Amino acid sequence: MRILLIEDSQQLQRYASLGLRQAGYAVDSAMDGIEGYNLAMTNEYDVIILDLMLPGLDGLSLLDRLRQKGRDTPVLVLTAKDTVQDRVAGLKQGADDYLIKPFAFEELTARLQALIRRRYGLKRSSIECGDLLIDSTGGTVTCRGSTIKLTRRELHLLQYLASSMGQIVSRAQIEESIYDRNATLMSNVVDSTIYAIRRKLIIADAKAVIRTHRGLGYSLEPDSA
Amino acid sequence: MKSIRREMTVWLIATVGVLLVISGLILYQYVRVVLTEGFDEALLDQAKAVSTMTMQEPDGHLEFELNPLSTPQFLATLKPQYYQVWTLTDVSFVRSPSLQDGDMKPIPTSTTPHFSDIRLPDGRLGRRVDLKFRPILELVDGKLMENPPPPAPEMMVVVARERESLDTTLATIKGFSFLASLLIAVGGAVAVSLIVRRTTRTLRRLGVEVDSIQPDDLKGRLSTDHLPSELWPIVSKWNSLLDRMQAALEREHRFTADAAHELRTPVAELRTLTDVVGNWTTESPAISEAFRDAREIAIRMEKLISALLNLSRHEAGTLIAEPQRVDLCLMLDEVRKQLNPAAVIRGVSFQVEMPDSTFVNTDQVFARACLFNLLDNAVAHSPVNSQVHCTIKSLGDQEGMIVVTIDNPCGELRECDLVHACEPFWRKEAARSQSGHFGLGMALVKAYARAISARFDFRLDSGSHFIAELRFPS
Repeated sequence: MRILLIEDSQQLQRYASLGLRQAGYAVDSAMDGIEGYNLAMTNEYDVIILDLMLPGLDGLSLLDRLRQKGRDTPVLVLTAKDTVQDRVAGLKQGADDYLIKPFAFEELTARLQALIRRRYGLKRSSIECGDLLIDSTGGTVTCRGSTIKLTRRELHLLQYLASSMGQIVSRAQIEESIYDRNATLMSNVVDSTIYAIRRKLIIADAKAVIRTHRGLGYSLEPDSA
Repeated sequence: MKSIRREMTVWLIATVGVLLVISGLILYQYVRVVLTEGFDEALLDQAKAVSTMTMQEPDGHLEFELNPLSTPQFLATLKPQYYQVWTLTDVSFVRSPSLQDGDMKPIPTSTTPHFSDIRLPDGRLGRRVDLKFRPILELVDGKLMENPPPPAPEMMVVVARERESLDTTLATIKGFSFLASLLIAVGGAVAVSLIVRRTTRTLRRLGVEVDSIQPDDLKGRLSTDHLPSELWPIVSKWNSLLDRMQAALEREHRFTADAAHELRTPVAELRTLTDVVGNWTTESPAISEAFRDAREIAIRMEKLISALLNLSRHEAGTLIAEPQRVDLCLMLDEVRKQLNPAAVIRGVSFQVEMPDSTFVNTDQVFARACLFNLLDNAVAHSPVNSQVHCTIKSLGDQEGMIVVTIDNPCGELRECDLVHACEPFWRKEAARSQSGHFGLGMALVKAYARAISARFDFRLDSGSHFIAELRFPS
C-alpha cells in the first residue's frame, strides 16, 4: 500500500515514514502543501496523511483542491488542533479521518488500515481466498491455521491483490501501490515477487492462486481445481 | 455597613435642624427685644406724659394737673394702668385713681428710666418704668417769669401697665416660629433625603455595575452615560484598569493555550520516534529501557498538554458539556478498576458503598474525568496500606442530588492548604518528584464540575481525612 505523508515537521516525517515502511507501506513524503498537492495529483495513493498547518498551501486548502479535482483518495488529517470545530471543519472539507497530535503510532497504523479497508470495500481486516486467510491488521497469512512466512514486499503484494480479489491488477498498479517514488525498481521485481508468492502457496498447498492475465496483469482467485 | 447616603442624609438633616433651631431662637430673641423695646418706649412715653403733668408754680409750689377723666386708663376700672409720683425722699406726691390706697414705691436705681417687670396690684403681670424728672416751671401768659423761683427738686414717676398683650404677642410669635421651624425641618428633611438620594443615584448605579462584574469575566465596563464630572476620573480609571486586566487575562489564556498547542508537535515527534524506534530489537537492554522511558515521558507530556488545554478552555469558557444519561455507579466502578493496579502497588484498598445503579444526566467524559482525578489523587496521596472510601448516595427527592464522596486519609494536609488545592500545579510537597502527577487534578475537577453544573466541595475532617464531594443534579 502506498501512502503519501504531507508533514512539515522533519522529525515527525522521518520517524513516521520509517515506522510506516517498517509496517510494510510504501511511503512518499512532502514538507509543504504545494509539493504535497503536486504529488497527490501525480500519483495514486491508498491514503494521504495530511498535516493541516503547512507552509505554502495549508492542509484544508490542499484537501479542498484535491476534492474539487475529483481526487477521492482517503485522507487522514494529522494535526494539533483538537477542538470540535476544527474536527468538523476538516471532515466537512473532505477528510476521512482525524488524528490529534501527539498520537500513538499504533493508532496511526490502525486508522490507516481501516481507511484502506474502506477504500477497497472490505468490511473486515482479514480476507479469505479459498483456504487462505490474509490478515492485513496482523500482517499474517495463514493456510488452514498454518502461517505462511512472507517477506514484507510479498505480503503487501498479496494484500494488494487480495483487496482487489477477482479483479485484474496491472503490473503498473502493483508497482505504484507497493513501492514509493524513491525506490529503484528493477524491471522484473513484480514478476519475481509473484513467482516467490506462488511457490510458497504451492508449498502450503493453498487453495488460492495468482493468475496471470497476459498483457493485462494479475489477479488473486480461489483455486477451483 | 457605612452608607454615604445615610450619613449624608443624617448629617444634612441634623445640620439643617440645628441651624433652623439656632436661627429660630435668634429671630425670636430679636423680635422679643424689638417688641419689648417698643412696649417700653410706649410705657416711657406715658411716664413722660405723667411727669409733664407735675409743674412748679411761680410761687414754687408743685401742682399735678392731670384730669383723671382725660386718662381713663388710670381709673379704677378693669385692667387699669397705674402711676405714682414720688419725691426723692420717698414721699408719695400723687397716685393714679387705679392705685387707690396702694403704693408703687420707686426702685432705687442709678439708671433712669428703669424698666422692670412687676406684679400689678390686681395680680396681673405688668411692666413698670421708673423715671426721674424735674418738674417744669409753669409759664405765665405763655412766658417764663422774670424772677423764677429756684428749680424744684427732682422727683420720680412710676408708671405700670399690664404686659399681657406683649406676652401674648411674644407667645404667638414663639409658637408660629416653632411651627414654621418644624414644618421647614420636616420639609427640609424630606427634601434633603430626596436630593441626596437623587445625587447618589449615580453612585448606587455604579455600585450595582461593579457588583455585577464577575472575577473570571472582565468584559463588563462601567457606564459613563450621564456621569457627574467628579466621578469621571474614577470611572475612567476603573474601566482602564479592567481593560488592562482583561488583556492580561486573555494573554494568559492565550499563552496557556498556545504553549500547550506548540508543545504538541514536538511531543508528537518524540512519541512517534519512541514508538517506532523503541520497537526495534536491540542487544542493549539499556537502550531499550531508555526508549521506553522516553516514551513514558512523551506520554506524560501529552497528558500535561491535554490538561493545560482543558484548563485554558475552561477559563475561556469554551469547555462545552454534552449531557447524556450516565450510570455513575458503573462509571465509578470502571474508574476504580482502572486505578486498581496503581492502588495495589501502594497497598491502598477501596471500600465502596453504592447502589447497583444511579443515573444522572451529565457529560460522560467530564464526569469520568472528575471521578478519575479524585480517585487518582486519593490513591496517590493516601498513606501506604490505607483505605479509600467511595460512596454514591441520593439526597432524596426533595434535594434531587446525587452525591459522590471520596474519602481518604491524608496525614500531611492542613486546613490552610485547602485554599490552594484547586490552584494549577499546586502540590503539598515542593519536590514535584511524584511521577504522573502535575498538580492539575483538582483544578481540572473544579473546571469539569463547573462545566457539567455539578457542585464540587472538599474539606478535612478532624481525623485527618480528605473528603471530596461531587453533587450531581439527579
